[in-house]
Amino acid sequence: MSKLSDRITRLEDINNIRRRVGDFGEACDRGPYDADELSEYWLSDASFHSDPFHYDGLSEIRQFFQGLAADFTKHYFLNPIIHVDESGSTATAQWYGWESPAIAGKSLVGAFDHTLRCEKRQGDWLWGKWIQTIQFLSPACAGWSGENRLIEQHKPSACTEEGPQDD
Amino acid sequence: MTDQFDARISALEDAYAIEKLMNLHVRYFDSLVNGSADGLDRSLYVGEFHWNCKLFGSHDGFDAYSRFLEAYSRRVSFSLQLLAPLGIDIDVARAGATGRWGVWQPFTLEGEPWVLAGQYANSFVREDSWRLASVDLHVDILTPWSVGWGDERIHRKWRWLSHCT
Repeated sequence: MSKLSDRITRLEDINNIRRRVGDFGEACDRGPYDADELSEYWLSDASFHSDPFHYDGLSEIRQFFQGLAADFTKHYFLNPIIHVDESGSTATAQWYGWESPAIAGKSLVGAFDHTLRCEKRQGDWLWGKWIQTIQFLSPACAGWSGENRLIEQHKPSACTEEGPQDD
Repeated sequence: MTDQFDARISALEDAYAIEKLMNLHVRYFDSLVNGSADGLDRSLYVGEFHWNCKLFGSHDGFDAYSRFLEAYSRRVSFSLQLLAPLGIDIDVARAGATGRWGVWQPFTLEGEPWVLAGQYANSFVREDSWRLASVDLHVDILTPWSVGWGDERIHRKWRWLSHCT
């Protein structure tokens, strides 16, 4: 059995990660996607994966956020499953994501599955590896079946399948 | 050392009690609208409970809140409020707390599907147990589902206050 203080710290860390992810969702909604603010949540060598795209390092992740076309977003992180490792300095968190953005005047709803690996640095939890699966991102009024299952969310030419373009 | 542990455990217990209280508040609200509850649980609230939203009006006191909910239930036949927790802060003395939640609420207004999206910023006080002192709802989306929020996030035909106050 771990020491009492370690057990309490683990519960506090779980709460802190829940809150930090909620803060991140709100930060996504400001702007939306203010790359400067969002960069503060990531480690410099972090990675973000959202099939088929993959971004390595803070610079590429910044470009990903800068390339998003939404003019309004609402992010919800739900159903958290958080495991803090024995070391107390790393953790894995899984969430369902629900979003209701507006892109080019279209109302969309999106359902996501997130797996996040994070590290505790000087008391703050930072994102090291985020894997996002888009279950659907669809016109809200039309539902999410057939060709509506996945709507393009990047600005034209913002990214290639290998990652953001240099220029 | 024991005092320090006690304070940290109390903070975790308080946060869970407040989250549960908020979930119960919302569940009673939805159940009353959906016809699966007869009334509210008064013990969840302080007597001078205050419910406020720019788009639904301001209701001072538990009785005023009950009347608002009765009026709401006459127009809204379905409601489901999905909550995303955004953080709970408990004051040092453990006498009061604040909490915020994101809310996604599909609802049926006079037979028409609508959606509300926004944030709750609530306050709580600890008497014999934690109670809800105030609810402040900020709305980002309020529109018929068939119209959507692409062009206009608060739909121009929204007229709650003229009907209910």
